[in-house]
Amino acid sequence: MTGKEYWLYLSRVKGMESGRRRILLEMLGSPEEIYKAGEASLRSIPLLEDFHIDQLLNYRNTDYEKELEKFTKAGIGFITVDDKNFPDRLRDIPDAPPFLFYKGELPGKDKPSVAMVGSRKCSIYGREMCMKFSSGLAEAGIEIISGMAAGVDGFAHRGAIKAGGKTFAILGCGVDVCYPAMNKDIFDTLSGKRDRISTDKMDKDGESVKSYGGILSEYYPGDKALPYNFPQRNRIISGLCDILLVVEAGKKSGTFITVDHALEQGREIFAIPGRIGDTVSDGCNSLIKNGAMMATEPEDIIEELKTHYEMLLTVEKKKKKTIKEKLTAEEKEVYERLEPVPIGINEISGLTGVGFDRLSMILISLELKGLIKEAGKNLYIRV
Amino acid sequence: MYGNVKSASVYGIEAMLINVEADVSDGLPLFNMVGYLASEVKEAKDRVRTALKNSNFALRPKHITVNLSPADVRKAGTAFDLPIAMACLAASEILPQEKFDNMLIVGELGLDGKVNRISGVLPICIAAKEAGIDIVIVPKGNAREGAVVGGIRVFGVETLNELIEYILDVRELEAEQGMSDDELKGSSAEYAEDFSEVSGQEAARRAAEIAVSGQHNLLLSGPPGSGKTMIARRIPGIMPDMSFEDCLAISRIYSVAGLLNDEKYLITRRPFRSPHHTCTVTSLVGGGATPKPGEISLAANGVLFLDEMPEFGREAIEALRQPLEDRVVTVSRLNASYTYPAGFMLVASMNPCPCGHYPDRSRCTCSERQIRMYQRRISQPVMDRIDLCVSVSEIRYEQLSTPKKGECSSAIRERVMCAREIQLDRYKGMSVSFNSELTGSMTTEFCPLGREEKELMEKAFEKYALSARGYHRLLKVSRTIADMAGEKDIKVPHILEALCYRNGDER
Repeated sequence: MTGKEYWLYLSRVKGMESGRRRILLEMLGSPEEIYKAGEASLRSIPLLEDFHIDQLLNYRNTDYEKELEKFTKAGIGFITVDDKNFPDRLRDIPDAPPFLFYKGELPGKDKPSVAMVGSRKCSIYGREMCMKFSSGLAEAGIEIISGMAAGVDGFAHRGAIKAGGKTFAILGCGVDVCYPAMNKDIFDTLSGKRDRISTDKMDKDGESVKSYGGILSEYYPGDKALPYNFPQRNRIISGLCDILLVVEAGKKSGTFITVDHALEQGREIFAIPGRIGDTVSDGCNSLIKNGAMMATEPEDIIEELKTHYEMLLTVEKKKKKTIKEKLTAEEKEVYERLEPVPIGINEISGLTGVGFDRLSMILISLELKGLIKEAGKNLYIRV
Repeated sequence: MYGNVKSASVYGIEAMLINVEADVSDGLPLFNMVGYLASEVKEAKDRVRTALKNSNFALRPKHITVNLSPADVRKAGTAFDLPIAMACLAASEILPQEKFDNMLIVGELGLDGKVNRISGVLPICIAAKEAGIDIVIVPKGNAREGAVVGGIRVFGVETLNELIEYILDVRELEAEQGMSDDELKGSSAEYAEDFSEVSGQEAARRAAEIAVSGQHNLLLSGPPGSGKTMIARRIPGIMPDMSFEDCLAISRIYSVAGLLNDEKYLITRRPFRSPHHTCTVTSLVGGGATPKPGEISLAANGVLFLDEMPEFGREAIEALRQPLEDRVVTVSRLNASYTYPAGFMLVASMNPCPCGHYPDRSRCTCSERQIRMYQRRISQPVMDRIDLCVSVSEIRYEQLSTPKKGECSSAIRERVMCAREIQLDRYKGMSVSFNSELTGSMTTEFCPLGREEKELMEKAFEKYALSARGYHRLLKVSRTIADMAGEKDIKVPHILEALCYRNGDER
């Protein structure tokens, strides 16, 4: 058996958190030695429960060479710390995962990367900001890391894919398990199966021509999404990035687990501010109050990264959008009333005094000109 | 001895004449009834015998046979009690048979000889008129309802004795007065609710007006308490008044359903039906062991309001698909199939999510999945039949404290009538009468687009990822908006406004 196969054997043990695994490795030396250890020496290790030992003994009967072949056929890659392609950022974080399963690609070696996290229940404002930042950053060549959860995570991936950039999803389950199911579009696109988000051409087998990144996990393929896996995988999300961007988070959001990991790992924290009093943005605002950097446009983050990455030096600050089309007086009035927080059509009518039949017309024509966007049914925001 | 009385029974919303024959002959004393009878008709035997006894007319102990013909049609209901009693008396030679020749009798008997109300008198009277019968005897409680049909004499009787005395010419009965012209005119519907009570909500107001003008179905979405129900209730009030024929057609359905009474004997207002979301498929579309019209038929020519549409059972909602398309519903049973009218306008309301506050995330606690599941509970085929979709926003304090009186219903109705006039004129002699009913090929014929309009349509098609159905819906709504503006052709502003009401699934 090769070293890689010994790691695969070790990765298969369920319920083996990183801390426990570290102690096991410290005491016995290497995965090979764990594989060859007798039952008595396994039992002498504190923190190892019976079910761990049972698994460690039972799993020795498998042919791991065949197992690896099987994974390769299914498009699943397996990489360990011994491999030079293993993401360098993960090598020096506390409790680093010694191996990763992946579909699609691995994060680029010397590419800047930003992790975007936030509430699973995000507002329309959060969604729009998330898409704006992720596509803006991805366009500049920055890789977007997130957790493919509902809400902010999903929109971070979608924004990057739509911009044609690269994005990586870190899962709390096996890389062949799509959780949550509603993000199947992201899952398929990133695993290189089908491009269902961007409108790029596909080849005749319906396969995406372009790669948009990959899916990574430290869990064995087929492992289910268990609740206690998620806080664990958050350390990989923050570990893989240069900067952690908190898009939208309430006071008691699970996002703060990732923030804590990032601080521990010495990553920079950025947060997108919300309105004071908006409970969905409380967490972000208090992060800023406590010293996190404030991000109001993607350029804020790009500027910060420029000191470390030469490739970003060529990225120019985007010019403020000038309105090319001529607007009528009424259109202008309506446009100026809109903000990034969605406003209902009745409210716009009240603010501008434009009658409804005219207003609906103006809004649609502004939308067709690409100046505003209908963010929800009859809710409008400025682009 | 033989006696023979005409009666009628209701099938669907049509009535069919039934001949009630009785024969009294020697033999073992027996009361026998034949003619494919439901059990409530068989039970008439006991009611008739006792009611006659308590009216001082005991049937002699003879062999009595009663037949209801045509004998191969199933008879149900209690309307045959009175004609059976009359036929028996005629066969017993107590009453003269020739008196019954030009007379139709219906009514249920109580044991004391009282004549009780029945349902379906209106279609029965209409059938009597069509058959050329002059006199119709109905229970007193149904008399006004029957008298609405002109050209026949309708008499209401309270007791069995009253009718017997009338036949024997010892008592005069007064024919029930039909509706006078004044009454008919005065009936031009008054609605308790008026649109002027709705403050703000410009979007929903406008959408309601467009929907009524083109007979489009409408979906109102918004948080709880934002006035969705309030708006829906006022929609019948902006529909044009019904013609007498329309009133009669609807009253007929209500008559069959047993919903008419002395005060409300002719439906002159556009119906507004709002079934609860726990209602069954049968109560919604009609049916049952003895088929009855459902809510969608009771809402014919008016509004069927489904409050909180996603809360309705999936089956109930799916059952609306065919009636929405065909404007009639056919209920098939083993022995017959009945067709009820279902030309209603669907107004549905829904919350944007289970808790109702989305997209206000500081209050909405639903997960993205829950929201999506909730919005998907109404299936696409049903959504495809709803042309207009508009959001109703929460009422702010200023609107409550200084209510700005909106336009009143009658002013809106005036405009609606104009727009409908244009459509009726355009579709003269065709199978459709309103824009919403246009089929695919008809839209190309009646919604021609200029160059500029075509460009806009193309742009919108790409931008909003419209489906073919969505494209046609858009054209139909644009057509209605153009009609409201009195324009011959659809112009850019009309399409732009119609785009505002599209109901695509958002992503």
